[in-house]
Amino acid sequence: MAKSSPLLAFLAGSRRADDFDPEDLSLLVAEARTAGILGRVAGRLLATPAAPSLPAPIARQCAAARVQAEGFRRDVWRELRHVEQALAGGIDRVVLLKGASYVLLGLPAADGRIFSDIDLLVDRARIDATEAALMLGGWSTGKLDAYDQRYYRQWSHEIPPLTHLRRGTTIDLHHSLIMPTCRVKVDSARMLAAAVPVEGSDLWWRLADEDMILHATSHLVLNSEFDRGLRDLWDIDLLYRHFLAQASDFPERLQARAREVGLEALLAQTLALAARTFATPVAAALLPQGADAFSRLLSLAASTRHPDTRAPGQPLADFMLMLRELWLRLPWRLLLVHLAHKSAKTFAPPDKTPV
Amino acid sequence: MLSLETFAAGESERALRRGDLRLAIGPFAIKLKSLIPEFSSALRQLYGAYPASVSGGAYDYDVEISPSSAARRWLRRDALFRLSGTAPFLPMDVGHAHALFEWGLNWTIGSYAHDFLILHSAVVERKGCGVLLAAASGSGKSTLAAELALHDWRLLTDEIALIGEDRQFVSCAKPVSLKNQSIDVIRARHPDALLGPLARDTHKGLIAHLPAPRASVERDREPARPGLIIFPKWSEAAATSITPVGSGQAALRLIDQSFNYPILGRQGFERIADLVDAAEAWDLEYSSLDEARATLETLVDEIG
Repeated sequence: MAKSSPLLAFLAGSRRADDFDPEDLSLLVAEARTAGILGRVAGRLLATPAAPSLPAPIARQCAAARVQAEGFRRDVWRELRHVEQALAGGIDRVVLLKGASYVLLGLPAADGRIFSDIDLLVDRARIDATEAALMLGGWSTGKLDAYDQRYYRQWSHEIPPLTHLRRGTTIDLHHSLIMPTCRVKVDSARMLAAAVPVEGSDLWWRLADEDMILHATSHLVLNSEFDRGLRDLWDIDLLYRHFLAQASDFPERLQARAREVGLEALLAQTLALAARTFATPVAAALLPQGADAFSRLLSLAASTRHPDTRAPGQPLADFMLMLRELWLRLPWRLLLVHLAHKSAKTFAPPDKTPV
Repeated sequence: MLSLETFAAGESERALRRGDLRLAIGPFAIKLKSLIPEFSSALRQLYGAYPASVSGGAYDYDVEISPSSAARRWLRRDALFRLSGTAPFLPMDVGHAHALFEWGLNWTIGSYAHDFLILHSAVVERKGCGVLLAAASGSGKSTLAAELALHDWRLLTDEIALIGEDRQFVSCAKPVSLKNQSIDVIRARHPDALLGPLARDTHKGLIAHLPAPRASVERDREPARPGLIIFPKWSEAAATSITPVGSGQAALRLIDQSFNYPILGRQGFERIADLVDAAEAWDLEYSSLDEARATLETLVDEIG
């Protein structure tokens, strides 16, 4: 039987840091580590009035997590500079997406966030030129088999990940916000048409506020894996609060935009989940009438994943969401080819090429 | 806190199964869970002197060493290391569970303990002088550390040097991991020394662990002031010699040895700079463990 989760109680604001005994606080930290959100949780714990009296192990874990988060932020800035240099003079109008954009724009969602790739987007016509410029800068797609190369370049909305030969950092270069074959029809072109330049930069563009939330939403609900589901959901909570604080009509604009691009229902379910998990102050008009099957699965998956506190139904929810994602992403012909290829690979002798 | 050995074997094993065992290793409180009986007895051999609790408490890291699946508990038994439920490595043979615990703990500290600057080096101490033994794997560093420990030097660590904000070496005494020929060398020189279980055919060959000396474990809360930085290099039939190393050169070599220097940024640079400022650096080439030890003892005496 799973223990009740100190992390979820803390995030929802139903219990405060000084309400927990030392053992539960330690579990809270462990849960945050599993979920990939320790950097942010550490910031929250260190900011509470209970901070000076945190037990030594918890204080130490929080301090270390903040050092790591700060180091990471520096790394992202440095990497963005490298990309700017590689693309200087040749490529412009590059839309920066997700985590890296939160860092560039100094959004609250950047705080304490660790992520592995930098996500860029250029229009399809300039993909080859951008990839070439990045390759000159030292990033390369490396060795992928012919099937994977063809899959990425023909069917996907991004080219294979580009890894820097020396630094090991990764760039995901997209030409659309959504898989073109996705059965959920999201108007990526419309969102990109509303992109705006980032103040003070010659290179970087960003999505409009509403579109940033909608993109984060589409990324969450069309995921195949939910190891970082809770973090992605938290991003949405932080973005929503930030934009709401800047403009009181943000909820209406967000809802109208969601309708325009085809994400209204999924946005409603996501915001409802965010409200339950993070007490996001979501305007009632944006909330759905009730929970559907998908949102029940999502609430199991985008939650704590620690063995002591995760919901018993989580592995099954993960599996069903993975199937759902395959179904949404791949039209029939591709789905059959994909499954055949992957099972052939499973039963084939292992590739002995040294890494 | 009572030490692990004061609890009856059955009691500590039951606590281990429930996940209620807490072990204090250096500055860290480890929550330990395991369903592997061999691991439970290896733990008592290697960590008997360490402060322990069988009734829970706050912790830094929740570690589990258990079979990778229900099937693997009974058939072709294996051991998987998990931190907070996540497994960073593939499973290993069940007989290597205690070695896996050491590697896993080193990985955990190296990946998460960023309140320290972490160097892949040994630290020993004598007469109040902290000595860093900084060398790549396979250079004989662990054998030298084991030798010194068996001659009453205090062992702070054989692999994970922790440098705190106050610029001291923080003690985190763990079993010294000896590989292949080192095991024979130490056994021949110290036939009475108790080594932990042998792990055969690991990816690093034959491995045995020398438990940290009891006196080192008892002083595990005590830091050491940096006094010497030694770059030891064992080579066959070499005459013992020491050569001074400039502080700039020493700093560069230590940065190379660091797990988390880039993460610490400016703090990391300042700690390394202060370290090479405070401690003399020497290259030590040797083939005789006796002469190497005598040389180090002389250096410590001269520092005063």
